[in-house]
Amino acid sequence: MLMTAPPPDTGPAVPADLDAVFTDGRHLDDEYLVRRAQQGSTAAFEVLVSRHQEQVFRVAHRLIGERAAAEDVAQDALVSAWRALPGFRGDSAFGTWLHRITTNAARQLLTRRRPTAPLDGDEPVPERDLPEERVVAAARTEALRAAVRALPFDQRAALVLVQFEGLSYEEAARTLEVPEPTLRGRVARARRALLQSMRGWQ
Amino acid sequence: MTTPGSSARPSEGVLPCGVELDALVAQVADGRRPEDPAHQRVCPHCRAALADLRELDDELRGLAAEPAPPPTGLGDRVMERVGVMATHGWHAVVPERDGTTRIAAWVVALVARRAALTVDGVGDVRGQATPPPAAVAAVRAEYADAGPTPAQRAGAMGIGVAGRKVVVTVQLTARPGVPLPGLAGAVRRAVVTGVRELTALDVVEVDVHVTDLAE
Repeated sequence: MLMTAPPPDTGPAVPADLDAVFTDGRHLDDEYLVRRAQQGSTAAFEVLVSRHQEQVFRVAHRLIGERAAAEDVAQDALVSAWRALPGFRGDSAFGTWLHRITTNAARQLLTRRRPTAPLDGDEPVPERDLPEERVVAAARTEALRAAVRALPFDQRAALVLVQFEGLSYEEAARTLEVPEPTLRGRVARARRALLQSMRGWQ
Repeated sequence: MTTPGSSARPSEGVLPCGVELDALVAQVADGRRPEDPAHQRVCPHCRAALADLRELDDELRGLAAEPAPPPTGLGDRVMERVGVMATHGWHAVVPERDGTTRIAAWVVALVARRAALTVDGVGDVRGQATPPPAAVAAVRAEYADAGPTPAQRAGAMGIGVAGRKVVVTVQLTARPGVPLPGLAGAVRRAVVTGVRELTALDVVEVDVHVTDLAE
């Protein structure tokens, strides 16, 4: 058990009743809340959860494609975040760090269930000769959704972070812990694959 | 829309006119400047591919704009699990400049027990006798692979850890004739000092249960 003295706390003074403050903690920034949570405050973490759960669920949903499994992934990701919090050094924004945890949780779920549940091939074939433009458009959107789901996981994750979440290539590369050229290659391959499947669908 | 024959073959990545498809992808998706604007204006292959790419880009934007609201209660369910972990977690966690120190809860329990035993008037010391089943289940779920032994688990149950903060519960028997409030105070001081010296953790609370008189 190697120990040194605790680092000096440079944050604002801690009020005696943390919970009372955090129930109205909307004005506190992530950085401060992360530091309090790292010191063991579940109330601070709760504010972070309520602030970021939308993002975590949205990404999980895009990576997984169905709501029930996406909720499992989102829950696991946020709980893992609590456990991993002491190791979070603030090199990136808390939200970016959550992206990485969410992606890993989704990858884990898909690896576990791969033998029984194929991700593609079970989609209903859209009707191709319906006259209404809207129905066709809806079917096209559904086909695109299926095409995104059918991408290899690494390509899908790259595409989701860059195209859907608006991360820069550099941010996405750091989030997924791959070199930037690799990340760029994955996004480009994903876009080419989507283009091809949408042409095949027409 | 493109017709077969006139369209690019995206799998090969190069249009019949020799332009790399990736260059056009970068142009549409990332807003990069066209490499050869004059060629693009007249080349049917490039124009078709660009139209296709723009359509895909629009559709992806549409997909990205679709709301995916989290299910009601997601945050509550997360905090329920976090709460259990925070109270009955297996490790106290001390982030340092050059790494993280984790101290197993049963180690804290052992240190606390020894510290309590040094107090005059204390007979025997135990951790919390019966851990709440909810706590055991949660701990098993979180540490399925490398779980501690039942004895370690039982010993740790009287210890609540969150980060570097520790709450200790000790059950002890007292020697007859010793005033109990004074004894409990002495045990608290001994536990706080002992745990802080050996683990550098903050003991924020020591609950002392006097369960019996030692014979």
